[in-house]
Amino acid sequence: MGQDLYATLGIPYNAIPEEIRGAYFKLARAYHPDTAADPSQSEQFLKIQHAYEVLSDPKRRAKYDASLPAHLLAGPEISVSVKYSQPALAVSEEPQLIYALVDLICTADIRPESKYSRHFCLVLDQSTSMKGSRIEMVKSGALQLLQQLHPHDLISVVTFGDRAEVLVPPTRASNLSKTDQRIRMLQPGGGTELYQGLSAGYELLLQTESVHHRHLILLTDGHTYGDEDRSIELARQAADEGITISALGIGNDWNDEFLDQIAGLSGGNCQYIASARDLNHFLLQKLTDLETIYARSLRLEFDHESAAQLRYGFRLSPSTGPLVVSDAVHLGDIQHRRTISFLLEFLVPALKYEQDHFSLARGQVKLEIPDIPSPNARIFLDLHRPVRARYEAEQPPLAIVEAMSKLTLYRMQEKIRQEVNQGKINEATRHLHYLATHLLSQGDRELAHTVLIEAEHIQQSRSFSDEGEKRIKYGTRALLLPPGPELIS
Amino acid sequence: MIICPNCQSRELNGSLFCSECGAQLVVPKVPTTHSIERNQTGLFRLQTRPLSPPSPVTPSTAAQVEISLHLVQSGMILHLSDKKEYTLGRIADGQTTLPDVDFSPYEAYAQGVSRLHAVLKINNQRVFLRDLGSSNGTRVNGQKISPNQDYLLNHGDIVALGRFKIQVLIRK
Repeated sequence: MGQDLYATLGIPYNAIPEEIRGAYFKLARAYHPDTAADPSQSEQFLKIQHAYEVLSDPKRRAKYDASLPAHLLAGPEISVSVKYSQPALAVSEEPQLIYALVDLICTADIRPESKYSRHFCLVLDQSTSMKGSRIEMVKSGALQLLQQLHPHDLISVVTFGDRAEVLVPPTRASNLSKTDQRIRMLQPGGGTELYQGLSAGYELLLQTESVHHRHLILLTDGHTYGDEDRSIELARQAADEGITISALGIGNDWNDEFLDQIAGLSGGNCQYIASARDLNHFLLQKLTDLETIYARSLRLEFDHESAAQLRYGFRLSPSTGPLVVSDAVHLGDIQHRRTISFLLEFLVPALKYEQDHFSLARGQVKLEIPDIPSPNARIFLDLHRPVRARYEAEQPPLAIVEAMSKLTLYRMQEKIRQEVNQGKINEATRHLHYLATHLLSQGDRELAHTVLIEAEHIQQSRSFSDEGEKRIKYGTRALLLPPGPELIS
Repeated sequence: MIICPNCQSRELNGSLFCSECGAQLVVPKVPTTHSIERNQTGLFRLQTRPLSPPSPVTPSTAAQVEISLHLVQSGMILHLSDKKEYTLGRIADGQTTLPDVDFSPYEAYAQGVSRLHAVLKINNQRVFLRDLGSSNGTRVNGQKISPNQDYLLNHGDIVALGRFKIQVLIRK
């Protein structure tokens, strides 16, 4: 088989004619002999020309497709299901809200063993505050991870205090002692130069080919000062490279909003680590997840500006967390036979006329499937509703109401934090009481109790206690976790 | 605009939950119990039937909301029908205005139910509860509601008149 024509144009195997034409014009402009700087590119231009001629002709394309292996043409084995909070929008002078619950369901069966290895880079905070039980917990977590790795997996360890240091360069797990001295002898000391650590870890991961699963796990217990923006920029770059970052906060002093953003940009998780059990559980879960990956780096890209505004996005499954809403929303990885679901809230402006098709958002979910190297694989997503003269009395689907009943509590928590920061203590206290009431009615006595204690704390000191703040945030977020068998070691 | 029945905050159309107090503003699709009976006196009689899974019945006329009250302490179920409003309370000697639903056979007095304690209203497919300024107050899912104000009920909500607990079952 000669050169793959689809790869030449950089388009997916199920590309629609517009995509073929678009890709061709873009490449032709770049490689055209009249404009290209380097004459040796003319050969590439001919290839592009040929690929376009074949693929733009339905008959020739069909003939060419028949020569390709069937699994390439099938496209991603992911089906999309969307539920809306209402069957239709209503003509209204006022803005209105509508919710869409999107499920991406992977229908692919588990393959016996993926031929791709995993590269874990642990980026460990060794600042002075980690002294004692925290550093011991991190060490035992790292060593536990070593035990669980497959022989062909790669591991690297970076530590950061006043500066970053590569403790263990990328090494095959089979070549590493299960009780590695370098990890065991780790001594805390210094500041929290988080960017230095992230950047060193990122460099190590870049040494591994992008076809493998590359995951950076950041463990920290403190605030970093002055390098937040650079760190966020780095996380963005990592996301573009297909590297996922998970951020784990130990204790109560870390900057959760910052770590949420770092993890959210690449579709990773941010978690509150209260005990060694939490840490081990997280690492094991991550290990298993990466083993059964079907597609990586799912990102939702919107085609054009819609009149509707995407106000809020939240991933409900497999793990929970707010989505960083921008042009491209990173959704993380998808495992075989698993589902990613996320809830989107759209603010629709005043609607004057009835219409059959009001577009909320149109776009594509782009993804990489390691087992099927198809350039720019994607799934189309088109969210739209008709607009009717008035509201049709229809009850929203139970799944959306259930998700929102819990998400509302999480968002109340977000609002309360804002109010405390703005010094609106009375509002915050009132909202905390509302929150506690709802938690009680859902049967979560412990969290409700924490909330009430925090309400008193705020009255007295006009600020959250560090512990209470995080407990409430991650507690309300945990409400959204689907009930089901927990993965245990 | 939707006005939250709990805290009166103004919410955007299409909102599912109040952003101020977290109260639910909509009723989800859920299966419920039904079957309605009414006797000649205009009072509703309790049926001694254990709580059982809903049995299929012929679909009722459109836009009809059916309410059943599950008395938590005694396990009895009381079915309501035909009206848009039901006053809840207990009948005592010399009372001029009688409640539509009388809880006096169920130790309502000892549990702190007022003679005219609260009213259930069906409006536009939704069920609202209003406390009529009772002595011991009304709670919904443990949260006290302000008197003389409509409060949206959802299927399965526990309403406490004083200490007398009722689970409200709504079928549309």
